[in-house]
Amino acid sequence: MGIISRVSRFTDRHVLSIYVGPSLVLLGLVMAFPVVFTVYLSFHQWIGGALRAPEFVGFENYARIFTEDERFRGAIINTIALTAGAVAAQTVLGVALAVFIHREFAIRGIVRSIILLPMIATPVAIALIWRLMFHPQLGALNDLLERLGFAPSDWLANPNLALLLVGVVDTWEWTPLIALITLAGLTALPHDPFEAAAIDGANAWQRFWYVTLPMVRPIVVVAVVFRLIEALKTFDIILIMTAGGPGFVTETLNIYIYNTAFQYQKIGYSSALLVVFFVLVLFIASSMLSLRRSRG
Amino acid sequence: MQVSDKSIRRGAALGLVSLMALAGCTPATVEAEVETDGSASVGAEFDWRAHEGETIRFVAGLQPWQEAVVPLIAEFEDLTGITVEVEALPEDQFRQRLQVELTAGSGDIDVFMTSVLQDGPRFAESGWYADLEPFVSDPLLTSPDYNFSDISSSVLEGHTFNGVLSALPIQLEVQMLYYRKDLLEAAGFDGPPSTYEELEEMAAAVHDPANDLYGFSSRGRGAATVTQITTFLRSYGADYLDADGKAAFASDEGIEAIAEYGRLVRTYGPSGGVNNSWEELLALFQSGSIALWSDNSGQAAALRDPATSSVAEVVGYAPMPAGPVTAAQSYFGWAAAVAETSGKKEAAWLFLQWLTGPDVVSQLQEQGIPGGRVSIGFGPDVPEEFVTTFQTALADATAQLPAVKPVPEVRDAIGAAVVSSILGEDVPTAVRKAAEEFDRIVESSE
Repeated sequence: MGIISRVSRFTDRHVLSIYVGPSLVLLGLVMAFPVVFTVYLSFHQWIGGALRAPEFVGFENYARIFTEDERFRGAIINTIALTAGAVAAQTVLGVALAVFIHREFAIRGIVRSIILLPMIATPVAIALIWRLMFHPQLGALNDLLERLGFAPSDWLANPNLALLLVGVVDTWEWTPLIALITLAGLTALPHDPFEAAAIDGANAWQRFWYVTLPMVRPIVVVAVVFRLIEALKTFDIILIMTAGGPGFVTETLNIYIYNTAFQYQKIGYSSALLVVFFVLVLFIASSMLSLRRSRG
Repeated sequence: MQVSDKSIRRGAALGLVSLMALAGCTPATVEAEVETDGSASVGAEFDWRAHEGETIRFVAGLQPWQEAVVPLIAEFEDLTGITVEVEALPEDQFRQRLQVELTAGSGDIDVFMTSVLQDGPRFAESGWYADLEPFVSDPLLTSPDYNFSDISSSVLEGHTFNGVLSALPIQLEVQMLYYRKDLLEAAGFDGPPSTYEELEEMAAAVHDPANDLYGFSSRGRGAATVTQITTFLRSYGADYLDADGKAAFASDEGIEAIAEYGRLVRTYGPSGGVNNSWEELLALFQSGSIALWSDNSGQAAALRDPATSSVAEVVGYAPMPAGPVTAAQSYFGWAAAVAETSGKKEAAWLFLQWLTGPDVVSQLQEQGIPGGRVSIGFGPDVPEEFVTTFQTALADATAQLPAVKPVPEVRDAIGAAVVSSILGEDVPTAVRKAAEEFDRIVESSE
């Protein structure tokens, strides 16, 4: 009896740690360890993986990144251009799509399901199909252009188009996510402000711009932050569609880091690149969130 | 060092055992040591079934060799009672998968394909290749029929790093020029080109993009081009490296060679050429869209197979033509190795031994896929022209890749310059930049 009461007193006092403890430990193992280990490796040169010990090199990797690595500079620019362009397009299209399917119409259910399909499909499969469609000799797009009497394009083989096309495919894939989250926000909005605006004689555009948008903005910002973080890390569709080429024009940080680690076997250097990348993502995400807080 | 000590110890132990066996006593301790090495007991002979019931994993890239050898593996399984799980992936994915698994130090891979020109020094430094010497020299582990000395010693030298025999050759390739006999004949030419000028003349004569026929093509996708520009560089009197191991391909000759390669691919190749590697070009040649194509000899089998190729009857083979200085030829090789991390090295060695043994090599060479064995020739079904071209080119061939450690990274740097050239950008600037990158990469890998 003494034991039971002591145990129950103990659990009463430590109820928080008992409930949260296991997940904290798990979180520490799967989240903190990789981050800490990556930071550790970023100060080392490590060749050959598990069979050789890492060799300490201090800040050499970081110095190299910022002084002589031209591919890093190109990759940063590509990453930011792709992320900014694609997420901007997705936000505009996604909000428009949400407003459109929020209205009542006959086949709304079917349209909603169809719109979600690109997001649900496997990215690798999507990228393979797009790559085939873009193929200059075998692809459907050039066939279409020629039937319509236009000159064929080199698509992904054109260095001026390649990054843009990656952005188009990313937008095609991820616009539904922004639409879905925005739609959830729209559904939860109260009706009164809309009725009041209608009575005051606001037209559809004014109702959207002055009523809908301000009310739904906090939700849209959340969706944009999600997409920003994801878009910075875009990997599969680039690897399949262009693998960073032609040359390095579609090589983003993520692709470059991957090449450094698994093609060039420079694990230490790629860890340093990852740390820089991590700081960049953290900075962008936190500035977006503080933007939201100051507005909210 | 450690490994060779061990093999010496094992040799000594074996010698001791046989002496004592002669003397009529069986020393338990020494026998136990031999046993832990997994060999059969005293007095036994080589036995294919020594590892019956084990399962090994073989990771391969999609290559003509792999395609031809996989159907034969059932014979190995019957012979040894070992089950082989084969995992074959397209070349890029194969390289990625292999490196990820080997980097992680996973013990799941037992035997893998590897190209020593590309991976050899790095993989060896990483300790990923098991030393094959102790297996080859152990009569309990290697069949008396294996005839190791039949494998060309210069080839073996290329597979040895820091004194460690790391892999054995399985598929030897030279770069050659595939051409359409019917098209050249119709255009009034009586044979393949022997110089780059003739090549351009022929390409221009048959080039007809409106009807999906392109005069000449070669690889255009970044790193993949690097094995193919080697002959251009050397035919123009340039090379990758100078005597001090510094980049030498940004010389006037080197720039001219890369500019010419790019110009030919851009002018006579299918549009979007910078995204074409051998996979795409093979499909285009097979469907009759390319008249002249320079690529490695491994493609030949797929080109003359009527099941996959609409031009099987009319494909011709020629050595690479001559540039202003010489008619340079080049080779590439695939090999197979036992993984150092494998927990089943002896079963893995039995498989590698079978893959590189006289029986399999003659079956494959019969189909036109040359291995590294000196005494084995091609079969009667392989076209005479292919055999002559292969042998002519091989006689003068040099390695298709620069002899440096960070090959994948320098391939990307050089490949970017070739892409610039194909796109018609400023070639001298691109090539000089690639050469600077090259030196920086090589220097930082030391």
